[in-house]
Amino acid sequence: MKRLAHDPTALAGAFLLAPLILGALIGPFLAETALVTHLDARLLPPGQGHWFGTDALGRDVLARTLAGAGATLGLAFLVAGLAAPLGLALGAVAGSLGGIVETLLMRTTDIALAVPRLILALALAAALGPGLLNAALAVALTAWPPYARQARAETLAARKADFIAAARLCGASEMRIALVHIAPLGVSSMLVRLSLDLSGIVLASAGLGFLGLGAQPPLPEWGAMVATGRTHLVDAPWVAGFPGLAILMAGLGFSLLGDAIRDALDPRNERC
Amino acid sequence: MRSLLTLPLTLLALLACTFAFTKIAPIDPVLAVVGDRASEAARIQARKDLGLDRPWPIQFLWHVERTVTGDLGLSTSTGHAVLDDLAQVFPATIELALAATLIGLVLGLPLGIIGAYWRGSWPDHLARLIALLGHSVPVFWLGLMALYLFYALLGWAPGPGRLNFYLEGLVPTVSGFILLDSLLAGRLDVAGDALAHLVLPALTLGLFSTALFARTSRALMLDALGQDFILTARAKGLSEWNVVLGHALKSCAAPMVTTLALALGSLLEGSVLTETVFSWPGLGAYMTGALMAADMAAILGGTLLIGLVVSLLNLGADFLQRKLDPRTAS
Amino acid sequence: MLYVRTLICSLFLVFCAPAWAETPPNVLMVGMRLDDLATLDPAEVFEVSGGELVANLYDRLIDMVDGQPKGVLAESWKISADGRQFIFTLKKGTKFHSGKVVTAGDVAWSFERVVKLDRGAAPLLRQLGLTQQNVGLRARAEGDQTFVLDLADPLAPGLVLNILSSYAASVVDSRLGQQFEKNGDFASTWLRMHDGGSGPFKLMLWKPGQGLVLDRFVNHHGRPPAIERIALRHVAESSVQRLMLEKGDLDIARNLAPDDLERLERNTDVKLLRIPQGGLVYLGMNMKAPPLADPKVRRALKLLIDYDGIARNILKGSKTVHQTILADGFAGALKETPYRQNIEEAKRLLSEAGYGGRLALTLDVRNVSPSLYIASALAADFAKAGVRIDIVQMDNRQLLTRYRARSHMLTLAQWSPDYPDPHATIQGFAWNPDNSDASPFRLLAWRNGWNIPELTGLVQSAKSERDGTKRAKLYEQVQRTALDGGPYAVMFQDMLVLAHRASVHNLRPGLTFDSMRYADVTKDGLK
Repeated sequence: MKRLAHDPTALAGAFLLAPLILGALIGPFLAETALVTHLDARLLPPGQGHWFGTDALGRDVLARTLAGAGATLGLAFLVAGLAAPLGLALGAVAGSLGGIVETLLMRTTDIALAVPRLILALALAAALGPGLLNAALAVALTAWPPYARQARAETLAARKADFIAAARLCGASEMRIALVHIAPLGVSSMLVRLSLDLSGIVLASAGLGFLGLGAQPPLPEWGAMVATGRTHLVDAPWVAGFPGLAILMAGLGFSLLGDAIRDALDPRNERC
Repeated sequence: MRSLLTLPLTLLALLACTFAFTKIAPIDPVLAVVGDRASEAARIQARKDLGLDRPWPIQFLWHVERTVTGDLGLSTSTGHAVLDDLAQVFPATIELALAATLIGLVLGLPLGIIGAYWRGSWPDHLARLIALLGHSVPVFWLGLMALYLFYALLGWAPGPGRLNFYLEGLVPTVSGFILLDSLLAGRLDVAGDALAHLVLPALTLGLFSTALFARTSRALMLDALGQDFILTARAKGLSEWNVVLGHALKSCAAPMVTTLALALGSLLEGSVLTETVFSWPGLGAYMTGALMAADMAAILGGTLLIGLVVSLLNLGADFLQRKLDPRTAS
Repeated sequence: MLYVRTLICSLFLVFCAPAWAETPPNVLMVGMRLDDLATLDPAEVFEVSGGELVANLYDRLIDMVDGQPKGVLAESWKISADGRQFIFTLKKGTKFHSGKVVTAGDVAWSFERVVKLDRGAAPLLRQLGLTQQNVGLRARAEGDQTFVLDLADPLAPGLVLNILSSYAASVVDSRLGQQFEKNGDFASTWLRMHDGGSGPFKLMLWKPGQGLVLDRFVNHHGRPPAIERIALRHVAESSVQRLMLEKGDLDIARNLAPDDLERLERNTDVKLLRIPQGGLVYLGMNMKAPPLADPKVRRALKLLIDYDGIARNILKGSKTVHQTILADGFAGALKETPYRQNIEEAKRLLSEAGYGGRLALTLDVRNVSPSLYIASALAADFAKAGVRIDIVQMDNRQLLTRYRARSHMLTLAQWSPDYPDPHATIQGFAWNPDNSDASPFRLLAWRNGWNIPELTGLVQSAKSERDGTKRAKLYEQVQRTALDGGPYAVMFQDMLVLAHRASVHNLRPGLTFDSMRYADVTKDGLK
């Protein structure tokens, strides 16, 4: 942790993410400004009163971008919270139980890995209908396989450890061993992978938002804001520009922070 | 060998997924066929024709049978068979993905090698920055900004699309790749127009592949340059040029092939958003168009095609890696 | 090697840059939304873009020009004294694109296939009393030059001629029909993607989702078009259409959003055309949803809408405020606009109805602009009286699925009539012979659960009223009833707004979506 605090990469990441996290925190207080339309103040350029300008319904783009942080970051963490533990649990179970269960689970993982994430999410979101929760579900369902693979590999290594044998002697079931004793061992590497994955998740969710499959209007969400800003791209590039920059900041911030966390937590990966 | 067996399994699972998707979609498939103003009798008949009155396991078997025989259903947004549509749009996507891969190889590979060789120097930092950007920039936004800047403001690039539309149909379709077809037909004006239209979307998508290649080749080269055989080669008095490009780079060939296959897969994914932005008439634009029209047959057909292509790419990469890498050859 | 190639490419680019500036004078480039185009078969088109294309690929017996019938394939026609028989004499020597001569047999076959196929166009011909059983007898050829139409009941002659001038009455090449027929489909599978007409343009190429290319039909019986080739390209975004128009990549842009129109007003290279259309934008209120069954609530909602504000700030002349169910331009249409935003009155009505401050409704809306903007503005307006709106954004088919199942609460919908007769619209909004869930007639009144036996009878009698003035009076009465208590807040009338380069001339669209004809268009520089 201390190492992390002095790492310039981590600092740069934190610097990029700070305004977004701030936005997510104060977002609920901005809901009023972000949602109320002023039809007489449409498409005002950035300047006094509106630092980022206003959008096609006269809403303040700065307020919307800040408020949108909640939706996007929330979505990213929701996906992370769904996909990573799911992958971990499945991987641990597959690794501990072995046999047909393992084959079945790992084949499923292979298959899920074979289709690009956005495509499957797109098909799923199309079937489920648009919405923030559905988008999260769609991305999560496509994000878990790498975690499962990693967890399984670690489980195979840990299965022979003494304390596992002890637990087994005490009469614990294999399922219990997998979930209670083995899975926690995989948490740290899961977190490392997660930190590297977050920027991809943010981009995928923003992409779904851009295609109209994420948060529904008038809720502010960055991808959707870029999509609506597209209509006024030529006259008001700021409407699509700033939310896009926010996505870029989030992507960069998570990438940098992820790199730093990996370097700090994973001793095998020497810094380069 | 095992991966060869996985392929049909993967496809079957994909089919199951896509079938499940059609079942949970909140859209009346009959409406898509007969329209809003048809009579009730016509609707009931259409329901029967689609087999929607049968139990769903039978519907699924039909679904598999139809897919295997190449019948992916009728796209409700284009009115054509999905398979015909895919055959028409997929070459455009390949064209774009190949162009982006080419850009990635031309820019990314040297960046990675230079970065690894002069580690910590400014080209290295540049390489890392580009890799970082390519990894974190939302491609749909980048495309929009590029279109705004180079078409709307500066007028350097032609507008969205793959060709000026009135030039469509002037060149007989041989391969589906407009650039190739127009050169074959000797229409330089059409070829020039097609090339000009290709530049902006290819560069947008190319940033991603550049980043990927720079990142991978840098890591691989760093690893290779630290190996014993490089020391040996240097000790033998070979030129640096020879050591780096001849020995170190050669040892990276096998993993690079895997990266290439992965990149092509990811580019297919990236093309969904890029094509939407540039109205590039490929698979991505087709699928997002279908998405807006809730055209499930088209979406699922596209998903299947991409799944198939990516699986094949993985298989090919596996195979090539085995061939190229002496360690796994045995 | 790779470097060299990139270098050549980039050099090439720099020097060829101006090559894509203008379109040639013999080519007309049209940018429009074509993503809803799924079929070109006149018997099943039910989307706007398809109707327009069919109108240019196919001829009909007659056309309506400024409300007056004009012969196209028909040389002349007679109406019998009892108003039940229409006899058309065809022009001689008119030809299909295939080269076959147009005969009365083709006309009869075209009517038969529409009615028997029972797709999108069938309801129009059914208005004439044609059914699958009787169409062969009632719409028949007598020799090669004479087509006879018998009506079951006398109908208003205007209604009959209006229907015969619609896309449903397009004349299709029956020889191609026999050639490509598959399991009694009247060649529908083939005609969906090909053209079997005699119109001024023929279909050269259709790339779904991308666009179409039409070439002129040199042997057209009228004057062949001046323009040699029309390329209709699918451009989804209004801003892109505008940009391409400004850059000269397009000659005509069809789907421009209000903001883009406003900016184009100042461009001297571009001209704008605004033509009122028969279409309406309205808010459907499902009376199956308990709060909306209360007339006070419906009235309150109608009073909460800031009609002028939305028209001025969002629509900007792309639609005009209109509150009755019949669009301006049809015989008998009322121009009254009694509703103005009145929040206090609306609050009072809501609390009288027992919904003061605690009414939450969903609003279904199509995922395109300006519908989304209108929906957002409506939500903001309704919130002023404490009515909470959840906007549910979806694509058109999904919206229709929910609408047809009456599972919506509020829906922001668009209506466009199929033929330029008031009956098309009036029947849609105010005719509901069976309000049960199993009803075979699912027009707008049914979808919103409006049970109106008396009004339905009124609409029925207006349909056969042969006196034009009396007919108009009946329609006024229907409109007033719907305006007061109907489950619709009609808000705006469509305008066809298109922008074209100043070099394009003679564009004359009319009241319905299939009245856009390209045959007379000319361009500067064209010899």
